[in-house]
Amino acid sequence: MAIADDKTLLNEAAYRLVSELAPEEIPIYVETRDQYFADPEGFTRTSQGEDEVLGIGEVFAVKTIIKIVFPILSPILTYLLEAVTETVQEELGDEASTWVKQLFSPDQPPQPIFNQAELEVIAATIRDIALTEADRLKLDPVQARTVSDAVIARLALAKQ
Amino acid sequence: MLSEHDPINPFLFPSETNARYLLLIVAIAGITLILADGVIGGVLLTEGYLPALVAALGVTAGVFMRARHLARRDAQRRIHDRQWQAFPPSAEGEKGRSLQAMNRYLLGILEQLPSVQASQPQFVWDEVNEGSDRPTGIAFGYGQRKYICLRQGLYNAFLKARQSPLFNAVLLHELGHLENQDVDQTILALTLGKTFFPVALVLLGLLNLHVVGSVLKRIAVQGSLQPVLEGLPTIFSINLKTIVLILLVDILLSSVLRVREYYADARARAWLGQPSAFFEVFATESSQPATASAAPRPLWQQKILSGYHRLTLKHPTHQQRITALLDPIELYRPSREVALLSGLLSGLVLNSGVHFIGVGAVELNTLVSRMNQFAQGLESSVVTLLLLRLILTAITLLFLVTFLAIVVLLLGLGVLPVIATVGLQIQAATLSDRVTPRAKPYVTRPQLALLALMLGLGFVLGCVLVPVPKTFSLLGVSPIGLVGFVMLWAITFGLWLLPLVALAQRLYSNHVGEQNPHHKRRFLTRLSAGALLPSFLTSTIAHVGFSVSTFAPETISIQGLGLILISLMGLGFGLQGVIWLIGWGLANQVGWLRSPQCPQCHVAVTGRISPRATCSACGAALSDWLHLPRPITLPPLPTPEPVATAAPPL
Repeated sequence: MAIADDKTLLNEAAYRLVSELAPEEIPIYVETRDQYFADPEGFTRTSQGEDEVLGIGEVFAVKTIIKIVFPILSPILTYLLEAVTETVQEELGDEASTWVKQLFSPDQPPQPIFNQAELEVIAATIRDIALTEADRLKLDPVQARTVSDAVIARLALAKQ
Repeated sequence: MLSEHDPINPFLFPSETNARYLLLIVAIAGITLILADGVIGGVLLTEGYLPALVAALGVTAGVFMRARHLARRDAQRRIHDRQWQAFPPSAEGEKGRSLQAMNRYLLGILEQLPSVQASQPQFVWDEVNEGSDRPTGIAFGYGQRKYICLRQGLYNAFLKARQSPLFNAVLLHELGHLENQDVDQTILALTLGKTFFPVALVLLGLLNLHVVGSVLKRIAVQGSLQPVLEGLPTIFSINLKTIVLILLVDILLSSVLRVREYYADARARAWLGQPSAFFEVFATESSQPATASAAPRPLWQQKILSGYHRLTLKHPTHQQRITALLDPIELYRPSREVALLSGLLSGLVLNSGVHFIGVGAVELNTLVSRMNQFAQGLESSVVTLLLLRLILTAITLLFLVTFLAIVVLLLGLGVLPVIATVGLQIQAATLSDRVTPRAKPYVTRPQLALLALMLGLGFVLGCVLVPVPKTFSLLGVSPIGLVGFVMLWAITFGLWLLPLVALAQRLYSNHVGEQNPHHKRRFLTRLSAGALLPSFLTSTIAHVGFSVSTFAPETISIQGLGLILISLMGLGFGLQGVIWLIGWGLANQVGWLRSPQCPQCHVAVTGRISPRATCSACGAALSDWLHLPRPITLPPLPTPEPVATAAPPL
């Protein structure tokens, strides 16, 4: 199941990460999320800065977690759902989806399902996904790493 | 890289921006006048006469009036075309509250800046245009109404203001443009460019048509193609020179816009109290290509385009801005580029102006002749003769006064670009050398010689570049002869710079107290203008004399002409020296050259005046006038709202 089909999961996970990593960005959460869902491909397209007279000159966009969390988290969640489904040997992904939702829930931690060895493989893959996506979409790799580390930290808390 | 000096206030002298703005105005007026006079004079077949001159003045005035009209409409057009909204825009929930908090913060900052607040700037909001995700703002407006456009990206910077100084740096930079009174001049400069370029191109087209028409007429008369061979170099020369002049205006326009940014940065730096906030803003140079090119070009074309692109950038490079922010004294460095441009415009204005003196003289002479004929036709009686004598005397006086007024105006215009740019820059650089001595001072003999050479080179270029040949155009002068003319003008300007530096050193190095020495600056500027005038006039006569004797030796058949002209120049320099001496005496009389006294205890101050100088007797600060404006107190950032636990529903 592609995460694009499960907007609710991505919404909840992204909101949780933004509120933890950059709570000051919450005022622009809804509009940024809606922009992403409306055009995931065009979301990361950078606009051309202008050498506008009486402006400050050519400067780069402000680095916000919210701008990176959706495009990085989306493939991570897709992979995570597959990993969870594989681990719990379920054909249907619904239970996997619930488990992942709980991973990002503040008050319902999921049942531990991964051991240390599995977790290391999953963590490495998540980091790899984040960096690959950052490279493909020309996003800041440091911020991508911040997002992937936040997911890995949650998985670590839910290890066996 | 850290500054090795105490920073001094970069706003003690009119900024280099104002100098370049003045040059731009002179360039546009001069070039339009020359082209329009050439076209109208040719088309109306009245070259050298009053109607062409009046019409050319009308075209020039039209360019300026049109530019002013566009400037007045600029703000509303921008807001309408780019769909900018009033700030804060309507928004619900957390974003709405956050935008309101940003608005309160903006008003809090304005309260700290009374002179900016007095201009009652209105904030507008851009979230729809290309580039609106960037943390930038734009100051704009004209006359009484001033605006600052805040882009969505700047709001994002406001949200991150606790972690990053980006928001304050950008906002204060924009407010710095208002404080520095940049906006009117910039908008007018832009609209002048917009108006000038099409007018210049149309005039060039008409000039070409006129030349082609003349060639065709001569072909019809002569029945051979010989006039084509003679006409081609003229057409080539007119087009080349005009295009160079148009490009010059483009370069000058961009330089006005570019240099302004240093001063807005300097203002924001002073308000923030330190430059570090800008390091994040200017941390990385833009990755955008210098010039968009569809197909690869040859190396020489790439070099020319890249050079031209550099000259027409609207902002300095980030590295240049950081250098100026770290050490504001950089803004006191005299610019060779300005020297070249001001020399060039001085030559251009003088060359076009001499032509108008001729027009004025011819027209007045005609008037006197007509009155004379009229008088001869009248029956003679004592009353009639008395009346006629009175009229003739009045006309003769009018002739003399007008002639003198034109000469003074002309020299004023010719001298003005130099006085108001290089002259002021040299004063400022001398001041900075005296109060913050450095291993490499800005004003040294070789530096002055170089500046004088740039002025001379610029002057000769200005004479050569006039598309329609005039008195000063140096027609038929060989390259070696041109070098001689460069030296003539370099010596004229160089001998003027030396006493200017000497008197500036004495005037500024002993200034104490809180007040900016603007009265001394005004005195020295006027004195330097008065001192340059006689030598400028005699060098002008020598220029014309040498030029005409080269192009048409039979016109001036005087034995020992060279010696006479050089002696005349010597007389001009002598007069200049006398004026400097009078000025020196006046400054001494008012006590500006004496050792300063502490403004508190009135004990004589010994030692050099520096930004940290204090009185050895009472410890009072002696040089408050040198200090940067005091930093402002930034209002507190709004407290973040608690974050809801549940994600907002889709």
